[in-house]
Amino acid sequence: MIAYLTRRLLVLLATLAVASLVVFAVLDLLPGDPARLMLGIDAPAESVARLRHDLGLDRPALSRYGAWLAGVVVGDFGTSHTYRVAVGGLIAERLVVTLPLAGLAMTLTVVLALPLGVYAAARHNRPADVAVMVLSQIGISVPGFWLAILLILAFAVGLGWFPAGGFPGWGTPLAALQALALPAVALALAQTAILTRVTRAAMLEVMGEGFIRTAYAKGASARRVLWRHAFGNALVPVVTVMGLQLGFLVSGAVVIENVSYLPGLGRLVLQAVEQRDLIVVRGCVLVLVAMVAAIAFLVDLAYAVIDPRLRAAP
Amino acid sequence: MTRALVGGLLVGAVLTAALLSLVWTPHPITDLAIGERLRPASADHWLGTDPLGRDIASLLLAGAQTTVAVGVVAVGIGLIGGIVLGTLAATRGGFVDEGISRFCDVILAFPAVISALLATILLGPGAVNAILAIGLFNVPVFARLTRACVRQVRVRDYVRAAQALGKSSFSIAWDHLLPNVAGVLVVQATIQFGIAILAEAGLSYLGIGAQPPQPSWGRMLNESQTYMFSAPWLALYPGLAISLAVLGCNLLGDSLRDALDPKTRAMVGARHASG
Repeated sequence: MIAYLTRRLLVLLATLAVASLVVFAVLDLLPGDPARLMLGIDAPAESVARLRHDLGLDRPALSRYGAWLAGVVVGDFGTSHTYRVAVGGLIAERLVVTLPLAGLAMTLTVVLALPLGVYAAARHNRPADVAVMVLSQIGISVPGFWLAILLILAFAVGLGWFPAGGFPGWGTPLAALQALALPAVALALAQTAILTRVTRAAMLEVMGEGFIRTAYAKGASARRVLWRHAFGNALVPVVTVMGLQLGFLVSGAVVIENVSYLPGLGRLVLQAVEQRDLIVVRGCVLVLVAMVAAIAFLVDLAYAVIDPRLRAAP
Repeated sequence: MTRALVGGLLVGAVLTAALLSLVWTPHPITDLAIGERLRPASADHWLGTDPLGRDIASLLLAGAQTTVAVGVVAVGIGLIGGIVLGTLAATRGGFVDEGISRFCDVILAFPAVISALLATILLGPGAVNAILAIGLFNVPVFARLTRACVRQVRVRDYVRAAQALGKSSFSIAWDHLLPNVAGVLVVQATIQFGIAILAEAGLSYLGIGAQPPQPSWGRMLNESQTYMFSAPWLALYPGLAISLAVLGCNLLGDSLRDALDPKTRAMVGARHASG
């Protein structure tokens, strides 16, 4: 168990190290002068020189990378040249929107998909199963950001039940949740469809096993067999996909936040790209990538809890 | 069977629209008629006009070109890169395998949207850069799949026989390994095609994919949002076009998978979550 955890942790750290190098290198190897690129062609020479110094461009690349990484480890991502504030604080401010949005979408996904998947599997090839499969096929094909636009048109512009965009802050929790509701539904739809199909497939696979027949033969109720015997054993692929989805929700939020004008990490990174604020882009991308990698690590840990046989696997 | 038919028809419709728009659209897509702006559907403009007075039906037809180009090139990059890396990893093993597997981990840690953002900073916004970013993200998807399939096939007797005959690694891979994993790769390619369409639409919506005047369904959705209150129908058609195109790819992919050996189904299982 300890060897398994150590190996997974090393993979996580190695991925993070390489990712940080890639993020640094991509933004450092820009053709031309990054400082000039950020400030524009008309910027005065003194401003460019000052930014070059701030960015450490007058030092060797390796020393810049070392200094940047040392800062990142303690949460210092540098100072944004457009917002004039610490990037770490800026990211933390935006995560307060992005993480709850991803969390809400994931909760919706799990709450809807697991029962739907089990239900469809229990009614294999009957009309209810076919209906769930057709709906999930459509759900997978609809782009989340288009759904977000349609939801805004129907429930914000038409019915006025939800705000059309923006975020009031967590000072008013109910209004904040209301602002996150439509984007979370839009983000969750495709993931719900995918998880429903995965749950159904995993359940059908397990339902064909001998121990399910044994459980029925022992007189266990259909509900008990379905949830206690079959569902528990179908969890490995379901958790794998859930982990991938959580990572996807965090990055998928980049697009959805821009539909609903939510001040999250995705909106921050897009604005930073438009303003060519490389220091902010670098910090945001690293945080997004680190979150995706950390989720993959947590999924590996979850495997070990769900299925002890996997601990020995590489 | 119905699935294959519907999927084939939808994908066929997108391909036909893309080809047709090369030679004919109801109105030229560069025709700006400000006096005709934001008109609802009529006999002259079947789906109405956009804020610049352009014919929406014509824009949709021409937008299919971008969609097909993105799908073909992004999946092509993924297939070529993935097959080479996956076959190398499976047949060489050891450090090569470990190196390629870790490379895939790192690339997959950068979701397509993030890679596209980085590509935008490096190379500027544009459809080509978006395609490259989506294609790069496809490489590990195909590399992992090829690796898993080739590892299963390479221990078969006919491969061992070819080795005993002294055939080169390349000709073994080309003659014996790849033909036996091609089916699974074709299925995955169909599904990745749909994912590429969704990714391009998302990037163009954000303004970092296709740039004007190149028509793109994602970009049309972006432009529709400004007129959400006055012309809500603008958001309807491009979204519907994207959804139907992706639905077609998914239906076709699913029916192809079912037509193959059932044992291969598990290998293309967790496909969409990777997008």
